[in-house]
Amino acid sequence: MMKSIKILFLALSTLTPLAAQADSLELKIQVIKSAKGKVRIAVYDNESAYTEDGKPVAVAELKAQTPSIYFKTELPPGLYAVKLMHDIDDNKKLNVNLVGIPKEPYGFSNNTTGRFGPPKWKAASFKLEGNTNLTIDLKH
Amino acid sequence: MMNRRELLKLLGASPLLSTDLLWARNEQLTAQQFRTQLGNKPWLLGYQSTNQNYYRANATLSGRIPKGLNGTLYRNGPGKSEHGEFRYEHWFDGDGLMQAYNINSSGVQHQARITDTAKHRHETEAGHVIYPAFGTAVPGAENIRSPDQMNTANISVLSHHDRLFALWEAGSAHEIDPDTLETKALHSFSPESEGLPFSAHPKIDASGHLWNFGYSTVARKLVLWHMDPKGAMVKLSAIDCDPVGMPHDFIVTHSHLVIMIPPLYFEQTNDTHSNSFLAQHRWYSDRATRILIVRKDNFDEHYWLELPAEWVFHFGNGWEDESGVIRFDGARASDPSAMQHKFSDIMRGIHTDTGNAHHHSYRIDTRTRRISTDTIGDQNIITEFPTIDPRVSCKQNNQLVCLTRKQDVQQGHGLLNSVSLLNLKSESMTTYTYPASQIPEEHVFIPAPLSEPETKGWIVGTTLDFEKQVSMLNILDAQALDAGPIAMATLPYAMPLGFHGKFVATA
Repeated sequence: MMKSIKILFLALSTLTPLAAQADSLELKIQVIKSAKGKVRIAVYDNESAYTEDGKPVAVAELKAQTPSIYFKTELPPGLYAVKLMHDIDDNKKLNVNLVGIPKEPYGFSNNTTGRFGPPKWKAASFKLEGNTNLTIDLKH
Repeated sequence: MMNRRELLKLLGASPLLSTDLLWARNEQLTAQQFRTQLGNKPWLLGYQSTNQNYYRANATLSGRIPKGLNGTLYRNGPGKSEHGEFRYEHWFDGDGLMQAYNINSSGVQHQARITDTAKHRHETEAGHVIYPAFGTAVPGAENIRSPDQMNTANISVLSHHDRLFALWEAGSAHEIDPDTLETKALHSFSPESEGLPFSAHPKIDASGHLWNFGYSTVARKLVLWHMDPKGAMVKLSAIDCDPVGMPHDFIVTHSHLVIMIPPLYFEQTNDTHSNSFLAQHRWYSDRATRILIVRKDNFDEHYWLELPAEWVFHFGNGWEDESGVIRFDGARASDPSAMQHKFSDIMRGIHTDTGNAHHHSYRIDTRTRRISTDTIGDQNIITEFPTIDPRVSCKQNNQLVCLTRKQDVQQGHGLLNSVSLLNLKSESMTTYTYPASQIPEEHVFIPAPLSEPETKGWIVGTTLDFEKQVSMLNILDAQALDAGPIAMATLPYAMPLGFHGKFVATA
């Protein structure tokens, strides 16, 4: 329960500009094949947090809708990377098989994928400079 | 400075043109270069890409099919190794080609079909290669989310619970229609096992239970599989194994699974697109081969032993006596250089002697947890592709069928040239050497109906005659192997050299 409250708090906090100068980041997330569960989004502003599942600068959990949903937040200009997943069974984690291959849809900014594991920060990061719209395709 | 095309033109059709110097190993191989080499080295026919998805023919029979030999030899191997001018640079990379040699009293009928994997389907639609490969750096290859995206289904065959499968090593089995060889689907033995690595050499024990392992290089885990005779999952588990190496085959006894982890370790390079998966492995000759021993009834109960660095592609069989001593055998090489280099050289038409394995025995005392190894037979004999009478699988065996070659006999094609029956007790060997124009592939032991294990039966295998440009099915009497084939069925075409097969008797 505490964890979900924390996530909700963080999600709400992202609706507020974090700094005087803020740009809007709008994500379109597609293709959502099922309206079950939640789409969970995490935005990172540095490599170590991104790589080591550290603290994101923005998170959100949105009720899944087919075939796509939108998410908008305000962030200071800079370098960011987004991880997201469709948590179909709403258990607040990405279900994986015995060797770590995801069994639920997921996606990264720049629509990148890793060759041996998750994509590196260098591949997934993008520059937020002015109002930015990104489309992220879920990998099924 | 002239480029390679100009140099080729200048050299014209001179025999010197076939010089391997023109093909520096760091240059992308093209189909045209291979065709040029093929003109000078006819044995390269074994590595020629298929140019159609389906083959069917009645074989021309010489000799007689023995009474009681009735069924289908299914074989698997890489078939389509080119897309336009792109050519895979490693023998293991081509899209899987399933073959069926139906043997009955009226003769031998042959079919072959490219397995319709997702990889093959997507690349055919796109008109070019899309996915990374095991031993070839594919320019512009997509990153993959699951090994099944690059699953070529090209290594071996499994027949279990009345179903037929084409197997790869790092991903799922593909179910194949046994009559038409059409691809049914990627197979999951259970929902939780979807997409898990299922290796190419599962074992079926005397009770009909199916055992296998798989390895995940990224997760650094070994997956252990146990299915009942109807194919239902009994147990599925993952064991940490860091680093995981590249184990290809394993041993199943009455009570244990034994998996050897050779010190060939994955070391990811910064530029993964310029290096194949294989090229990102490094052999450590000064590190141990680790041997995992697992209880069949409880995968959580396991321990590790060590041997010096060695490389075994294939084991013959394993068994365990009542006192808890495990014995098994394998074709042991000192290193994986055949896979790392020679099977790439051969795709370029560079002559190389690929044989470097000699048969060895292994003994594990599960009471003292000690392992020892010894040679079997004449160490001047190179061995590979060991097979057994399937009725002694996971039980004590006294015989082994394998491909062989005397080490000092040089073949133009660099592969093995004979089939042998090795008596493991006396270490004596009966051998038939094929004509120099024929390259033998794996041979299997087919028991005569109602016979005692390892007695009457036939040793059956294919050869490629690169001079006549045909593939052949050869039937030899297991009790008179050195007399050569008692029947030969010749196809009107040549099939690429493949890896492993299974005989399924007609009910």
